[in-house]
Amino acid sequence: MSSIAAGGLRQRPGLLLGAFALGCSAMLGMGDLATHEEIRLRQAEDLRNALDQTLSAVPHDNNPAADTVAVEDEGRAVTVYRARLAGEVRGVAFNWVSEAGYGGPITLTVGIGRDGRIASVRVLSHSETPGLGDKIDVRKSDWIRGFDGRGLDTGTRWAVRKDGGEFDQFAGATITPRAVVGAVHASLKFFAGNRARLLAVPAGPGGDVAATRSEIPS
Amino acid sequence: MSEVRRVVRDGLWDNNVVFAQMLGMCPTLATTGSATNGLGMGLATTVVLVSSGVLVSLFRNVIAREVRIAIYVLLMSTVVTLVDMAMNAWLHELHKVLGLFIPLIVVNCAIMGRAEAFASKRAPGMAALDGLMMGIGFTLALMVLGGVREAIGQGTLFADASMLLGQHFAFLELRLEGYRGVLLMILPPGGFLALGFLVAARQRMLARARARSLGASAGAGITAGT
Repeated sequence: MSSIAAGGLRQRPGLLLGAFALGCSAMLGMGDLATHEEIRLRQAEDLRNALDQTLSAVPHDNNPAADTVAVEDEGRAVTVYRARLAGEVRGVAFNWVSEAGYGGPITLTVGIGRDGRIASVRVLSHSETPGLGDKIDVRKSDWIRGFDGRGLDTGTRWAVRKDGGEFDQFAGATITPRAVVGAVHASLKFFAGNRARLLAVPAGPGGDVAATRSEIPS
Repeated sequence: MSEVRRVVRDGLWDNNVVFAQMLGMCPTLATTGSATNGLGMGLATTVVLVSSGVLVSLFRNVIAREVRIAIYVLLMSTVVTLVDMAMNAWLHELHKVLGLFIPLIVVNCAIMGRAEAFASKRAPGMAALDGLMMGIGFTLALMVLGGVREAIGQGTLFADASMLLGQHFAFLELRLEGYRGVLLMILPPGGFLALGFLVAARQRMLARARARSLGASAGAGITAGT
């Protein structure tokens, strides 16, 4: 910037501020251009990891991250990722936000098999108390694996022990496991309510072979 | 004392952001549940301190007094957003741990304080040095605070450091087996408690040093007098 122009701008603070706003916007634009692609890749990686963990028990040969159905249920928009083997949907995974735990809502990734049983549940993000509520994280405790294999038809009492259910609460923390148990239960109901749609195989690449097959569960 | 030494001493100890200036309390208390988080927050803040200092210093002759605060805010939020995007792209694991706190950097008054008190009056090189030293001082303070809280709170030190720094730094992670921990120290009150005790300890050290130097100069006076 030449000193004359700078001197002129000094006299007009409004213009000066505008010039800085413009410059900063340009910098942000360039920053976005430089990082946009990389951030997208990282997020796709995160998603793949979460799906790998929750669908590892479901045999599949497709890429669930690329096979999605958008479902709206009671005001909740859920993106469902589907795991298929030879075209048939063998299981699904989706993110489910719980009712508030102790430190706000907890986001879970829930994997459910074709049979309506939990394949695996993982906590995606939470802000529960370290040392108490964070035992829901699989890196801290195996508690979350207790859901594996359970469904609405397995006679499970879906509550923590304190509320007459069969899931352990933690010493000093009941609210957190209660929220998680409630969320897993709700996600199973969501699956049951939308089962036909989630398991339906759309006509199209990879799906046309099985599309004619009956979708009534065997 | 040369100016460079003065700036270094100021940033690291004499005028330390946390322990002396008591600025940036929001990120300080919020992120120091563990030494690792403190380190990460400190490093991110250091980057912002250096870059915003250099920018403010570069434009110090252009920025009109009337709009300077608005322009500083603009520059800082730009830098913070750029750091946020860069970390999300290239330090993704760290971003997952600290992502929530990065926007907090913009309300860290220490950055505004350094821009106003130092960078707006000095050459870019000096402003960069000041930002770096203030940042390192801030980082060390956060690490000490996080370390104390983590050690007392859950009996670990630098837990998950390998998530932040890579597998090579797994050796930093210490764990006291069989120690149940004092949860309070991890929770927000623990932040205030630990900070209070650390500031008190620093004041005591300063008071002792002052008493010693007073005694020494008094002694020197007597020798000179006789």
